[in-house]
Amino acid sequence: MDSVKEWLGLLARLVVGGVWIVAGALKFPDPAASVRAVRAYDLLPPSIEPTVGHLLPVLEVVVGAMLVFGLLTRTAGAVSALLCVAFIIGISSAWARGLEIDCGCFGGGGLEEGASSKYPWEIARDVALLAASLFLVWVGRTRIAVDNLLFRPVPEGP
Amino acid sequence: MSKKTERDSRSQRAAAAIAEQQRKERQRQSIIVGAIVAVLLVIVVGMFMVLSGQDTSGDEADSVPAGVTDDYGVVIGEEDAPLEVVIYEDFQCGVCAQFHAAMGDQLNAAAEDGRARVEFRVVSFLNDYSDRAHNAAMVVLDTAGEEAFLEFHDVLLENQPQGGDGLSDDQLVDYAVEAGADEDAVRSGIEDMTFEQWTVNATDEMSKNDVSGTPTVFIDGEVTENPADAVAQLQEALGE
Repeated sequence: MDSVKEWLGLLARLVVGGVWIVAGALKFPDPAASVRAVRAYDLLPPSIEPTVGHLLPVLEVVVGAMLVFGLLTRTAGAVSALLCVAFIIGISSAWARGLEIDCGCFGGGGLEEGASSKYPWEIARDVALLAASLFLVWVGRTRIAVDNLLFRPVPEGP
Repeated sequence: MSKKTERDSRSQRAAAAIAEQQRKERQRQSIIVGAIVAVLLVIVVGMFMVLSGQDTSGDEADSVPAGVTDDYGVVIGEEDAPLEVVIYEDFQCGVCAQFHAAMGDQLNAAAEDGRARVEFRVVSFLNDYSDRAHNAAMVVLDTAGEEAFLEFHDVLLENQPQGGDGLSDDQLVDYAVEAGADEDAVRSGIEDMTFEQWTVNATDEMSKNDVSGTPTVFIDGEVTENPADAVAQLQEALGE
């Protein structure tokens, strides 16, 4: 059973990590657009919106790479879960306030006609990513991970 | 020493050795974790600084077009006209072209005979052509004034390219000349993107003003729900 969990962990790492890398990398060419996408949610104090807009793509790519390589898997899974929770809150709140914005999840952002019809599917996707991230926090150890080279299991006492 | 105590002390020594081994392994692992976290922090901070450096929004523009408002707009019509209309638009935005097709003539007429003050707040975020067209419109305004700007603005929306590279610089210069600008005066400004930083700031200002897309139309300071709502309200206000 442990072995099944470890292989599932590898799958979760590759899927979640891959999504983060794509989502972050697509925002790199236009950091100003990332800031505007953050502003469109109208949730944060204006003074920190540029910092968040510039930091999010970086965190996404780094957490994605950590997951794909299996580096500090448990920590990366926890950060990934926190990001998912933040995005679920953001999109739900945009939905609740009747905003029609592109979520800006994969670059873009801002007004979009009919954007609200996509909110349920976007939230469902983020909930699935959140579940996979939490699974990684729970299992910790997965197959084919850099962690396995760095951290030998500590020998059990007698 | 009895057999029993001998056995106990041997197992004690074994346990101590294992404990020592575990302590060393844990120590080694904390050093590795610390090193990885330090490297990751350096990477995050480095990439963050690269992204922040690439984003020039809000940097001071060394060239500001003559004739713009403090809100990065261009006003046509009388300042104290009874109806005040503010339009955020991008030259590559399809719905902006539709809005212009629906309301452009009426708004221009209303501005001309003193019934409306119309402020165009051009922004550019859709693609590279957005930026070039925005800059070109400001070059026309700067060198040839508001009437030429309005003419150029209308021509660009009526001849909007379908994405891709958009209109060439030569094509923009030709339209500028048709709109009443002087070729020698506008060519270098269009080719060298003289007002690029100003256009970046204009787009940033839009998002600071809680406008997250185009076209967004304000009528007497009130934002309209959508372009169709804007057309309906404007037609009512202009009595048509």
